[in-house]
Amino acid sequence: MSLDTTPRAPAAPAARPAPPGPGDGRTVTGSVLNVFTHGFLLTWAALVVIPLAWCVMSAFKTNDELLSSPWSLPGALRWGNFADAWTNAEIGRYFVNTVIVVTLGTALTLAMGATVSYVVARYAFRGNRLVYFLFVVGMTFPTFLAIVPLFFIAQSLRLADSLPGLAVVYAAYNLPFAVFFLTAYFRTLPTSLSEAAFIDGCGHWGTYLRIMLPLARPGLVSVGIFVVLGQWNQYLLPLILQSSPENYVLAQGLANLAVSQGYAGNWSALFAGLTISIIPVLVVYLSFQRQIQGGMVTGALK
Amino acid sequence: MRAGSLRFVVTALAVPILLYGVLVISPYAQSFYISLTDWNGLSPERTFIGLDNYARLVRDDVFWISVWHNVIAVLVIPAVTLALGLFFATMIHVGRYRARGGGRGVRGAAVYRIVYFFPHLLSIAVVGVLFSTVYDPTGSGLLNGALGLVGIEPVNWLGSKDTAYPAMLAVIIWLSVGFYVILFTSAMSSIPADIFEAARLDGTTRWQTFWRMTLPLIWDTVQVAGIYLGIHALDMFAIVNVMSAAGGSGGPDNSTQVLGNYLYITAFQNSEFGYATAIGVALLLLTLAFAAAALRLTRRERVEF
Amino acid sequence: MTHPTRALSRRTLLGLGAGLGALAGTGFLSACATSSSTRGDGASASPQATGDPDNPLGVPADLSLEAIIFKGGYGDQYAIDAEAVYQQRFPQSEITHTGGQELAKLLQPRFVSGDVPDIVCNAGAGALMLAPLVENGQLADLTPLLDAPAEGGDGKTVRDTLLPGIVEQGTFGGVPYALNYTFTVHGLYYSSSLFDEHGWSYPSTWAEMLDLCQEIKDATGMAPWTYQGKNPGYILTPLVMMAIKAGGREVIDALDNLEPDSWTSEPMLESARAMHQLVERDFIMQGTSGLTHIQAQTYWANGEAAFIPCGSWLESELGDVMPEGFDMVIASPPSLTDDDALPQAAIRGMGNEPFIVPAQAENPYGGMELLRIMLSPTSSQNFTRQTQTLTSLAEYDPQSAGTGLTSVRDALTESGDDTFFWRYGTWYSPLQTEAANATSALMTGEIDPDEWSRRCQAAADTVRNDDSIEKYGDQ
Repeated sequence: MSLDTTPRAPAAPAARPAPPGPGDGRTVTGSVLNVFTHGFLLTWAALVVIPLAWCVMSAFKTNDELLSSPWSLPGALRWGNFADAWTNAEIGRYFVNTVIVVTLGTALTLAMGATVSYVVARYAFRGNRLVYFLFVVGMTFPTFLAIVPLFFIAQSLRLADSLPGLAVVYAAYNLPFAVFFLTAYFRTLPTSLSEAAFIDGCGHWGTYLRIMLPLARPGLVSVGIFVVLGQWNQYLLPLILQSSPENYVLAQGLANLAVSQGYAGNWSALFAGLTISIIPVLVVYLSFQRQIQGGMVTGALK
Repeated sequence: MRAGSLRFVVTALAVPILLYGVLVISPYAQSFYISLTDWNGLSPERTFIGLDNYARLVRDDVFWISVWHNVIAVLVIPAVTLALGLFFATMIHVGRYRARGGGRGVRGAAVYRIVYFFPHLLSIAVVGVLFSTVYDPTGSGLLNGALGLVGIEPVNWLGSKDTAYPAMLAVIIWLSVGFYVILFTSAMSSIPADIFEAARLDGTTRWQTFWRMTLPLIWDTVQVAGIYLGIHALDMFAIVNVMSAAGGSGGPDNSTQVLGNYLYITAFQNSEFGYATAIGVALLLLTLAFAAAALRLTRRERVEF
Repeated sequence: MTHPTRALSRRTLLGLGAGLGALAGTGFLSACATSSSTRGDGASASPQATGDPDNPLGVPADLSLEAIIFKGGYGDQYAIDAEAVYQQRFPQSEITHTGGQELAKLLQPRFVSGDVPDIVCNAGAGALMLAPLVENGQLADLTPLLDAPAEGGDGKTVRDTLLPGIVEQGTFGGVPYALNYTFTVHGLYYSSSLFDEHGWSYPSTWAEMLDLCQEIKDATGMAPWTYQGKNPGYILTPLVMMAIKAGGREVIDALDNLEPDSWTSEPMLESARAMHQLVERDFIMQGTSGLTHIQAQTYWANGEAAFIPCGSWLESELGDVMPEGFDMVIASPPSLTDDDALPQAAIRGMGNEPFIVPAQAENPYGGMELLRIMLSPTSSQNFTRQTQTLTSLAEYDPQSAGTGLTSVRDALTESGDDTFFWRYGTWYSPLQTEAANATSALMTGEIDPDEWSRRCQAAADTVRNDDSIEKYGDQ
């Protein structure tokens, strides 16, 4: 197949599309290919968007409308479904719980992960390799293996069925990844700066907190994005540890709303609940999509 | 070493190591022992029964069904996700090749990248609830409603043994593909453009370019992605637990049962904690086996550029 | 918790020590086992029979009371209301109430450590399994409660005021360890207004059922049946009910005693064939086997299907989903044959929401006293008002009742002494799981009735031959 010989433009940053060049001599083959390309790409985009858009639309419907046809538009914008989901189905509480746990959990993960990584990367002490190995080996173990004893340990430490407790457990299980990633990051930072800081009399903590930690910021952001997403996603740990509905996180609460028996089943509230759990993520993502994508890709490519 | 180094090391590591030791290492370590007991998790009493739980595993049909389903997930999810990810990434990357920009992305690439990435940000359990409604077996579900438009009778996606598990695998693929599209386009755009230019001048077809140049050059990324996907595919817990029968039975009739969910049911519904941890150990072995196999299979000549 | 600070420090230290111990290669569980080796002898001591009519169980007035109540479809307000009465009676007692859903997760570690509440409503999908608790001796014998005078019972004992079968259902190896507070009837639900509108009447034999199904399908295009497909236990219930009505109570004994021919017997096979005709004649709503209970019940309430099998909690579970004037009513499934051993009206009625008192509870008689208060006519009325569900108290006026509850009461009255129940499902959950799975396959046409009975029988045989499973039947 022939490719045309349009002169090559200077390489643009990957995340940005090349500016469309008007009248740049397309061949017939090229146009057909272009149609195919866009055809495939648009199909997948539709596959992604339609279930989500359908969910948002369904959130405005009544039970009757939901049962009649998946395509019919809601008879009215029934914001009441959202109020119903937020208060009666307690999606609001689950949402707030999730934000609390993920915020606290990420902060703890980063604080502990960075400290361990800094020490392991920058200090030669007996057992350095052992500490590093101990943390990193945790990445290879499936969490399932731990859940039975963890369930009882968390109960005896009063970490179970509590929001801060869940955050502590999240942090502990995210440490291997954070240490693995950040240790590599701290190793790449120049030593000259910390030397200078010591000469200025900063001390160990001062050098770490005031000089090195700010330098590690890009790494922390990358790890932070991974950790936030991972903790937002968690289902297994809250399912095991949070036994009271007032401590449920969003994923768990929604699943509970969808499958648990003995409740007044309200379908439209389920869609409204789903929408409530999807939209904020979408908004945050659209606002920071460059950073989020960049951070995640960097994390995965490392 | 500097003065006070040791004290700093000790104070800095104390809390993280204590927490990690108590909450992560200790449960892992205890599991191996618990798997050798008949503990029911309801009383402190438990009897050491040696390898009885493992002997029971070998005879347990549901266990083998679960292993098989995990193996299917590990084979299918990475294969399909990587294939689709590479396909769409190539489309985005070289789609506009013949036009201006020398392989710098199709028109609207930024929009595709934003849209494709989005499912990756949703909680798997939330996606599971969403797709339970998408897969509604009557005509009022999204999927059956769409099939109805072209005259296809509603399919009982999650209620039939033939379709339930593939339907769940499809959901995982749905939410995974986007991230790998982004990952691979990033990897592709780090390939120097002259390489493509040279190939173009040599008259290489797109297909050849992809197989002979693009793929080998981003092979490291694909390999890491495959292992990462495989490890995640060994999980399947959230999706099965949410999308199979109420209470996450792995139904219909164990046709969607996976090790994670079987472990969960065995421990937290049947109160067989000793047996459940034996399933956990089996899951660990499967994970290690996968990692070893993947590393061996994906070893290839590195292409430097 | 009754003494949060004290418990916290002890258990925190214990857990931490154990966690660290495990790091060095020893187990957390060994630490746990030694710490709780001193067992309270709680309920095994005989009650201080005071003869005090206000405190027949001799509850020490100053002991605190901790109640953990399943907070599901019925909520937990009814228990809170009963606790208020308890508080009036024992003003010095400090009452702690927890409403929870995942009872097993809430309680398992507490049973392991011995720090248990005084009374538990152990219900819901995440409930504790009772059989292992009984085996471990962790539940209190409720005989003192059953022999105590009933509240508002005119001198009768609690035992004598309960509906038939209630005591037996909580009995393991001859000892009453659990008491079911609610009473549910199981059968087929339909909309009486819809039936009146079309001039349909509820069929009394299976042949009539099939005729009616054909008529429903032809006349309206509505599906005759649906069921909670993802929970196939729901559709297994009418199957077993019809077999029991056809073959009599021997069928129950065979099932509960895991007899070799319990699932392959003629009545069971006949009933499976009958149900299978619904599949063969395409009387089941499209896609039913993929529906959750919420979906199936919503479809049914919206007139997509005529019949749905369910227990009498359905009315409260449907809530607002039920359309105005739907007038749901319950009936026992039709008779299989003309000469069934039990009348068509015979219905499955049994207790639900089992209450237990842990053997190591600090105030076991307090827990039983709360249950005694809850079983008074006043508390029962209060419960029914809140939930449209009966308690296991035999005689009380439920006052407010919708069509569903009224039909439940009528069905129960009509069934009378023929009301029956079975227990293999509670005793042997692996059998229940496999039987439900096989029924799911039967109702999608994947297997035939013979294959179904073989699979169920094989599961029963496995349980019977497994010595590690405690047997509760009366072989």
